[in-house]
Amino acid sequence: MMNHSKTKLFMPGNFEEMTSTVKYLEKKGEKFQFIAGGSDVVPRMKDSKKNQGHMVSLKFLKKTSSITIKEDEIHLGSFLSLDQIASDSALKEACPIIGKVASMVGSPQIRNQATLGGNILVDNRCVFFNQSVFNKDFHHNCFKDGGSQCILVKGAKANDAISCRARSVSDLTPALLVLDAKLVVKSIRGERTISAREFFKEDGIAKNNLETDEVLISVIIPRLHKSVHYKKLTVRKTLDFPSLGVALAKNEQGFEVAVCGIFSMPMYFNFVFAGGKSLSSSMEESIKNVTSAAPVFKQDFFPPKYRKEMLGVYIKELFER
Amino acid sequence: MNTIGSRTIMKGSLEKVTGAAKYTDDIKVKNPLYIKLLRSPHAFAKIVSINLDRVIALEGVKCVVTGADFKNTFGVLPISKDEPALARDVVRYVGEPVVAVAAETIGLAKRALDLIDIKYIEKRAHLNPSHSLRKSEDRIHPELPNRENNLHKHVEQSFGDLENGFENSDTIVSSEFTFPSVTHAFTEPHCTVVEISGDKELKIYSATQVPHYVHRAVSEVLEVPMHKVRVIKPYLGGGFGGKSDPFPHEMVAAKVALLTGRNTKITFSREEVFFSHHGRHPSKIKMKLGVSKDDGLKSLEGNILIDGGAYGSFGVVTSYYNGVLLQGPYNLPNFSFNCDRVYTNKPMCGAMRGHGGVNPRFAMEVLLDEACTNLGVDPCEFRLGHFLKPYSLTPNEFRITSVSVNSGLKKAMAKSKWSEKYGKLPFGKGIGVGCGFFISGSNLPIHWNQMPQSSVRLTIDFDGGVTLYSGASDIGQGSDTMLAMMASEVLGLPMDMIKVVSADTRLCPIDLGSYSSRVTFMAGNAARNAAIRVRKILAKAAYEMLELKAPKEKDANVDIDFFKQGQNPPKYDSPYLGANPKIDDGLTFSDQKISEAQAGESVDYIDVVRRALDFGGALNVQGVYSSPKLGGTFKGAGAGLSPAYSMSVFISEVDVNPSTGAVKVEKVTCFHDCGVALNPLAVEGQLEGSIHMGLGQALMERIEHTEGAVQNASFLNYKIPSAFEMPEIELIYDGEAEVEGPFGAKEVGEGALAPFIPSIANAVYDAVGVRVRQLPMSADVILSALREKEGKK
Repeated sequence: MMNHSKTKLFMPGNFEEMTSTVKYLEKKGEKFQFIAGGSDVVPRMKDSKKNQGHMVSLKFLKKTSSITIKEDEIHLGSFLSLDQIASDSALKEACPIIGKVASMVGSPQIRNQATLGGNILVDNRCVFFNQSVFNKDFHHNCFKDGGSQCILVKGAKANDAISCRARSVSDLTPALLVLDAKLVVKSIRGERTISAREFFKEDGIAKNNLETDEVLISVIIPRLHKSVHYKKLTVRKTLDFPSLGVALAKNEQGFEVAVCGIFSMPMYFNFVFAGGKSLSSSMEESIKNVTSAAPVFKQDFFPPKYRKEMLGVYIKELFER
Repeated sequence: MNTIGSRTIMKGSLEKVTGAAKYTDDIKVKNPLYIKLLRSPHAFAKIVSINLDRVIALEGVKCVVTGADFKNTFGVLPISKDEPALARDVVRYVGEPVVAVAAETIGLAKRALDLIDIKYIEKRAHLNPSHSLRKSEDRIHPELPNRENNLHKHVEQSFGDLENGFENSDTIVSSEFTFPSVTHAFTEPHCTVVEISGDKELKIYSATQVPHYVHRAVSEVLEVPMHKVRVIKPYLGGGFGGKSDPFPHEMVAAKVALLTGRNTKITFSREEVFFSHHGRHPSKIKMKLGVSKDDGLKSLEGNILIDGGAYGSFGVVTSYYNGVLLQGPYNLPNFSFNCDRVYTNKPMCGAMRGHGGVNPRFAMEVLLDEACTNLGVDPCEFRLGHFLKPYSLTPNEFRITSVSVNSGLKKAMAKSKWSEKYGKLPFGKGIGVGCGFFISGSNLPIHWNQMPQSSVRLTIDFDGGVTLYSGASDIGQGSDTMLAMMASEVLGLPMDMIKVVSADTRLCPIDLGSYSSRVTFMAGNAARNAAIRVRKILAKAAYEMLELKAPKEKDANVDIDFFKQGQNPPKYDSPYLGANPKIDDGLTFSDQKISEAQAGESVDYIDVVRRALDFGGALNVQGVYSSPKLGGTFKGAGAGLSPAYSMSVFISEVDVNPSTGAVKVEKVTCFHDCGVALNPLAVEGQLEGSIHMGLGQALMERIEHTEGAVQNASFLNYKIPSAFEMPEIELIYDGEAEVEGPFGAKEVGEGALAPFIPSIANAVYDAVGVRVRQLPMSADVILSALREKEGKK
């Protein structure tokens, strides 16, 4: 375990103070990372030999993080805890799937602490990366941990288009992708809004399009009145990250589906069923498209073959709901 | 009865729930050195050199020890003392302790580990247990004679005429079963705190199930006389067998204290607990069962391979238990098994709840279910006619005393509505049965001696309060409460008047510890016996005060017989009452009063105590328990011998999702024959705990290794069931009184785990028609079995 005694926690009181903290750290050439609930960042810090840098707390966002339900949009502050999202009755009415999925993350303690932003940005996980320092030393460190190999995919190279297959495990993201949510991010340079569908990268290290000094401040969900369903594969009903998560919304032309837990990025698909084909052959074709979108690796309790098979089973089940 | 049979709150409960209870890590000693262990990064390697220059030079590091500092190896069994406190010359598993650093702070000790430079030459690790039976030029334990492979222990036994039994069977079923390694997953990680006195006496606080074994091992390994070592077990956060061996860190903490004259402390991380392991042996079992429709089980043959990991631990016992615990609960006239325990370069396996009996029980119960299917008989109805008879002898000469499993199965069938459900539920829903058999303590001690297996001292002073001193470890199972209940019942006193001092080798008489489900039976009998002895003193004083004549004792020598019963073989066809003296003093001890019914007079307990104290002072007595002389004379006849056996029945109801393979255990009906339930609260806790633990092994638990390294050494990745996975539970525990058990009790801590698991597998078969022959029965396993079945159609 890394000696973190030199790691400092900065607690800016507002966005301006945060920007000056970031400027100060950048000027000094010091590494830093943002921390919100800490349920993802802290365990990673404990399991790292590398200095993860100073912590810049985003707790100031708590004051402005709220649930705003407008006629055409829902605004969710990124510092809302998953429990707040899960238990908000107005949100339940306006967009039930978000609270439902939030209630399926981690455990009650984790949901009290973990934030919406943290869940969307949760680090990709791999059986060889999310390990103790001792275990990582045994296997010799992987690319994601600053090493020179991938233990999971033998022969992978650092300059491969996708060098890391650590899987995306954000439960909320598939639903947000189907709902076509927008992510509002802010930095010293200003604010920008990105479509969730364009936010993620298919690499377990790069993960997404967020710059190191950018903060996700809110999520905007258009009120499209889609009926979205989510199903999650885990060994236990609590605690576990998704071995597979599938969000699906049926429409008149076909269906939209997004998945997490299985590939190195959350993936979104929109299937428009062609006329003249039977529903079952259209479904089979769609499922084949999803399962073959990216390779699945042995980095979970359930073997890859099973998870791929469940992807099809879940899509069918959610489609028929 | 006053206390026995009442729902009695565990002693220490309030302390535990308020956080006041002091576990080993909470023990504060003055200015301790904190110890961290540098562990092997290789599964199998030669240690070429260890350079400690940089770490010794670090300010604040006070002591560094290596394998060279320990001359003697150790092990819980005298026949396999193969484990060094720190690896010497060779490392045998990933995570094996190699160097210990003691420093002024924990942080410093951790940082110091990075400064140790060890050169290894990696060797080809032995990871596959089957390969460990092959000849090897580079053995894990080359010191073991008469073998060319990595075999640790081969055991075999055969009774009756196996072939004849198979010939007379109406169906013969056989299969191969595989089981991964599972671990105890207790809450409290290992911890040891050592306090050293000026004259180099060691007071060792340790999270252990057996202070006595730690006492012995520390004395032997460090070559310190036993009287200079005192071992104390503070509150303990679970053991399940995983804290019954002496451990390297205990040797190291004591050694550093001796070398430095400083107090020491070592606490494991969760990951280190996984390295320490000592969990259930992974195994491969080939089993063949012959069954006759009318005569029941005819022949059983088992070929068993168990993967012991790098060291011996309890392995020799485990090897025998893999076979002998199949001698019940059914009549089984012809029986043969062999078991090979092999070494591999992985963390060692040892004893875990249901020790050695869990995996073979799965195989046997699944095969019996299959045989019943072949014969077209109801598996519950079939079992009913073929259980062991009370007061009988099994082919391997286990003495069977009380048996309630026949009526227990009937009750479980009625409660679960078995007959309305079996074979009649819709596809995807199923019901299955499994039965079990377990010891109430081992008849033979690990270290051969003629001492009683348990001694309990009892004192009463002027305040009338009773103090019991027992070496038994309360590891959360409630043995302190059980001991107090014994005295409370005999003396008619409320529980809060009985204090228990336990698990301290200086203050308490020897007890062989908390494992093999022995404590209630053995320490319980000893406590009851102690209470009866003090009652005799009080009865005499009471009669004097009442000015009444005491009745003549019917059998004045029963007390003496009790002492000596270890030398006498009991009769096999009748109850042996010597172990359980009756109370026949003509008095009633109740509500702190002692009364004589005929005269209708009574005296206060406290006055009687004070009378009894006259001239002699505080009352001091000792009660003991020695089990009767049991068993045959063949090799390994002692394995599995017990003064009494528990038997259990599980009927499980499952929902299997045919499109995902996911199994949900919806309801469990359990009958466990623990004789008289002394404390129903504790009995229910043990049974529910067994169900939780069994559910984990059944559906999700397994240790995963990559190249010998434990890859899921955390509670996120090693999956134990959450409350959500727990089924609805119906418990029945009204077995008949066990004549030799204290107030009629038998074990309840372990036996119920094993039969639960096959009852789930058999319910899965009833639900979807697939036989499961491996654990865990995770969704992917069930689905692929379903696919295979569909393919065959």
